[in-house]
Amino acid sequence: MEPSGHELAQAASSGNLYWIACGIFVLSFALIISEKIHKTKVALIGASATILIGILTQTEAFHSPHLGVDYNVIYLLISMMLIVNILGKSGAFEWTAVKLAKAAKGDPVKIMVFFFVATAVISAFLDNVTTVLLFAPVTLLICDELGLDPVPYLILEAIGSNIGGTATLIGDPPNLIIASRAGFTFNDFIIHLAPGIIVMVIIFAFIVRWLFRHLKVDEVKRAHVLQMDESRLIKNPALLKKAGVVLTLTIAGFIAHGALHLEPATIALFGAALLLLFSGVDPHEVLAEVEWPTIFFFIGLFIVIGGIVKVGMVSDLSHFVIALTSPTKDSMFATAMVMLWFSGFLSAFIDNIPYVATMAPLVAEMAANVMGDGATASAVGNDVLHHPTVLPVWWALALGACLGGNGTAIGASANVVVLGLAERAGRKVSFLHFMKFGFPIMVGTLILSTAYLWIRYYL
Amino acid sequence: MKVSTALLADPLTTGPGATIEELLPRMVADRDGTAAVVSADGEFLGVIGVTDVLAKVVPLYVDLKESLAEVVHASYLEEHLDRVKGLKVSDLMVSPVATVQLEDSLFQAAAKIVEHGRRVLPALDGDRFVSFISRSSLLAAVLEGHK
Repeated sequence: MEPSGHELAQAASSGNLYWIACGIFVLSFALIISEKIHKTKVALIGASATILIGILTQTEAFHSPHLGVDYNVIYLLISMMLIVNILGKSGAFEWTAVKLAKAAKGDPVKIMVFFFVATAVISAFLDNVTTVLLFAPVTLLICDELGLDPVPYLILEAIGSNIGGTATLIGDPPNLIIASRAGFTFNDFIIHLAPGIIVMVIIFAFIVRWLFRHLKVDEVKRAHVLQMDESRLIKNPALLKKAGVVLTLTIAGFIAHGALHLEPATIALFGAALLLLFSGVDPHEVLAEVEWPTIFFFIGLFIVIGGIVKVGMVSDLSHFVIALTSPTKDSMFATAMVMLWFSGFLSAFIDNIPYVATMAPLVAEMAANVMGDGATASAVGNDVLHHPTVLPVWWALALGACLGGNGTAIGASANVVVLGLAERAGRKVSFLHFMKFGFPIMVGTLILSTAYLWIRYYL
Repeated sequence: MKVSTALLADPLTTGPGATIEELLPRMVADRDGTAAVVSADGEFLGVIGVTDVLAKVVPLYVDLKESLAEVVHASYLEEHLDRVKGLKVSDLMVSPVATVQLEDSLFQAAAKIVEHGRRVLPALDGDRFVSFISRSSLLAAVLEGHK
């Protein structure tokens, strides 16, 4: 039977919407990467266009769990920013950094290793950029007192924060997106990613110690560090206690959130609300410090990505990945390895958040297609998305997207921040100078990730 | 009332090539601690004050986190001030900087002092430096005119 005029018009319209949605996505992505226009502006314009043109309805954009804004990610980000902002006011991070420098007895190499490990550990629970921003002033102080070049210290802190942030659900925004799309809990990341990251941090701590083994300072300068009274850096002991208790409870809540059937966002929101209530901090002040451009970037991005999911572009891309890597119900090894290395190298040059926001639904579509015999992602549950065959692909995406950021000066926000600070401190670091440190470490972590995935899931 | 009625007597001036070591004792002795930087033919180039010298000594990390000043070793200021003394005025001077013209009203000058948070403003005749107008000299002129 011939299609009716109405059916033809509908098909033409949906065909047009497909290409318009693709166009919005490609243009948005290109503008975000080029940095010619601020990424938040790009994401919001893209989102507005997606809704106004009718690619997504308003209900889909604002309320659909599969197509619209992922409010779990949004509220988790805002809440953790609030907790960290308030905790930061207490002086806890500066105290920690000076304490570590004194524990190292002013030895420059030990300080470098301690700071590298500390930023890795802290970044597993707090935002990477915040971690380096809070450590950087003390790093500059210690290096100034010891008469050392702060650049290697700052670069290694950025790298450490990128590595450490890979270990947990809350450590890096790409992990938030993956967790929300795949339905992973906080403990899933601890079980599947944290062990590999811990090994990487230990290995690179030894490498850093060996590489910088010749650094020495005289006893007079060491004495400057040993004489620092870190207790003077705690500006608000009462606030520190309250923030410490809330942060501990929040992390405990993350560990238990699966069993409690609560989203991590709910845990974080409760923690932030408690801290706001008991800290006595003015909400205007601390809310003003939330990175709203980042939040609105996410909001816009989710809608743009929802558009290409709805029109089927993500499904088409997933078929391409299937054709390229031939995953089966028994093994997706090639898919996982391609995902790891492709994500790693791409993330060294482009923002990993829009990349993962695109890849997460793609992996879900691919998993549904292969494991669910041609089903779509919205039609399958966690039994498919968490199937042992599929799991390595998710973790490969997380590892590649997060660790790839170490490759270049622009690969991660933490890198951009430390280099900006280094320049303000009179030590401009070139793109190539950063790559000298970052690229080998990135490749090293990808090699270790390959070994980890192979040993963990395929041996 | 105009800016020309509220100028300071004996303003401090210096050339861009002078060293901080030469200028510092004169700035410390001056009531407002600010010098106008003028070229050899009297053209106004900028200002330099004791705050600008201190800003060069106080490191970035204290800017970022004021509390770190409490753990810096005691002789830091003396040691780092020595390093700044060899610099030239042109290395530390502030330029461009807010200025007023002699013919501007005292209200315009007051507005600029508040907006830019400066203790003194250079008063120019075209592009030639004449003197400074300070918060005190401005108010003194207003009170005098009120009598």
